[in-house]
Amino acid sequence: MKDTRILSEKTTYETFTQEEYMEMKSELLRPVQTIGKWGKIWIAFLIMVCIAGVVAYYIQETKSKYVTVSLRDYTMWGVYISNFVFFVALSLIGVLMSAVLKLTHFEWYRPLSRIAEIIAVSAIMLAGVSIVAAMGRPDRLHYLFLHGRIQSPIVWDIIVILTYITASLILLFIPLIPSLSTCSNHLHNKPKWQMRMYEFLSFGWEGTPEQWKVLKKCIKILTVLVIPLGVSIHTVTAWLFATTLRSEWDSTNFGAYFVSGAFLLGVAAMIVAVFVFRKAYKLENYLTPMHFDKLGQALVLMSCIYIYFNVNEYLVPAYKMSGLHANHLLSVFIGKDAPLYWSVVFFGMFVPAVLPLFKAMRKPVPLTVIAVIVVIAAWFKRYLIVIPGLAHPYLPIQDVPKSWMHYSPSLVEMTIVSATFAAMMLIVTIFSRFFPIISVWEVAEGKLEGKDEIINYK
Amino acid sequence: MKNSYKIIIFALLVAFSKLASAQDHEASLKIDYTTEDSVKYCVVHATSSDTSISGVEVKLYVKRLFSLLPIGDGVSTDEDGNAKFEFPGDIPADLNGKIEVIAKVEDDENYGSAEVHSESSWCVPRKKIGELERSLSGSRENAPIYFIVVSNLLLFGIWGTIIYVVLQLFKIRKTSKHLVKNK
Repeated sequence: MKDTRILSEKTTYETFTQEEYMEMKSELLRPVQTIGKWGKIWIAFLIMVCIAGVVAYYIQETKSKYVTVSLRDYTMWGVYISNFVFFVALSLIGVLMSAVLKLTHFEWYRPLSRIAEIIAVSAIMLAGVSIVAAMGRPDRLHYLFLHGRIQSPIVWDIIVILTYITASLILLFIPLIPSLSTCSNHLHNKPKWQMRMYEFLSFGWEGTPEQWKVLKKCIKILTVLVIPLGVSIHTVTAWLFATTLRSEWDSTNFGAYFVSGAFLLGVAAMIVAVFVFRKAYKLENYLTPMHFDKLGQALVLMSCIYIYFNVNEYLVPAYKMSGLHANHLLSVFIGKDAPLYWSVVFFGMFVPAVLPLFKAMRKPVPLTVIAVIVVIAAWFKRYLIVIPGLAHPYLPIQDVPKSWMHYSPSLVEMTIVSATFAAMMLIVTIFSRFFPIISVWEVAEGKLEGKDEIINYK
Repeated sequence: MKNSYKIIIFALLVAFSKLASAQDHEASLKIDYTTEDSVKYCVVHATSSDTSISGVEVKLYVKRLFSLLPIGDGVSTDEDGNAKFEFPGDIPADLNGKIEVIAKVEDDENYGSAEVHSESSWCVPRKKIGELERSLSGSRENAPIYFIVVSNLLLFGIWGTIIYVVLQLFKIRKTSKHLVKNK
């Protein structure tokens, strides 16, 4: 039985003409082979922003934090933690756009999976960086491991982040092995160390049936594992809030509310990434209008789910308007946070739920514009969850300084936040310059098996 | 004008005499512990120049982490110089397993202020960390058993799978004829 399957795989591969495969390889390896002027300028720009972030962090840690950041007794988390929640949400893109589509046999996932996985890995890394930036005493980070309580959601968060990073990195690496062999065989005029790196990391890949069997088995196991892990990581992040004493966060809805928001952000971020890679690396043959059409439909679905959880999160407590919770609700509905709140509702939920219903809006350019708006709104949505929530403590103090009640991020904070974004994009950019951003063998495999829908799904 | 001078001088003399009399009669306190019919009493004996003093208000405290815990209201000493306090039996002990009892005379018009410290074992011993109840809000050592078991099962299950996958990967390397030839 096993032999028959191996034979059939082999036979399938032999039906693919060498000419077609070589053409595909050269197209997908082109971004790795040469980096244009604009590519270099983009990388230099990102590095400069990252350096600015490092300098800002140095200032934050060496000068008085009371001066360098706006965090006070009430708003002790601020923009760093809202940024952390945003990055954790973004990291779920790997779960949705790679694992879920793969397991449910939506074949159009093939050119998207690696893009999703590298975004997931870089986002979760920068989520960790955001936490360290938020720490008052980062020199005590190791105390979490030495003295942490297993009952504490902070410890669960550390455990689940480390596990998710590890699983995502391996899931990124395993399908890369055949691609590394491709790089090693087909790239030329590259530094010796780069070629040695490809050879070393390709694990002696020869594409034998035994090797394919092991590879696919590993991918399958990790693809299944990464789904509960991804859901856990964002649910635990939600529980960090739900178990903290703030009336606004006393919600049993928080886990599902966060995860559904993360899926919406994941689809929007995927649309933006697909558009950028398609244009910058001229991958129109692989990232086709069909992908935008499908992603547009996914955007509508995710928006509707997210709206449902928002109704549960805001309108049910608003019906009761009880105690301290009323302060927060009135603040976001008609108070000082209302303009931001209603903008987020309109641009972050209503627009993506309605506009992509029209086919014309699911074309690459209009859909990308919608997706960019959704990503920006998603960042502010996390801001709205964290900051107004902190402004209403259970035990308000009389005559508190004004700076405790009104939070606006300082220049140092915003520079560090900008640097985290630059670092995330830098990781994705550098990765795509060293490794094919579209998995050559996965796309080829889809083609070989007669699944033309990958490229022209109609 | 002359009268006001007189008043000031008189007031100063009175104050000086008060001060002098207080300094002349310093009170000293001593704490004894007795049990009558299984009720614990703390008896503070006040003396001045080896003579028992009566009618002096004594207050009793137990030292806690940040401040002093009053034990009942102040009690005036009787003709034998004793002030008797019923002592509670449920005060948690300090880190050494004891409590520090403090008796004070505060701003008495004849004897000024005086205090005495005494160590007592009339307290509830502190439970060691391991003896405390296991709960979600407990310390690191007192996590609920079910919680430790479930978390460890999940952790070992997930990390076990990850390690299994990594080990499988080395199979790819092992089956490589190219690498075997190079060796």
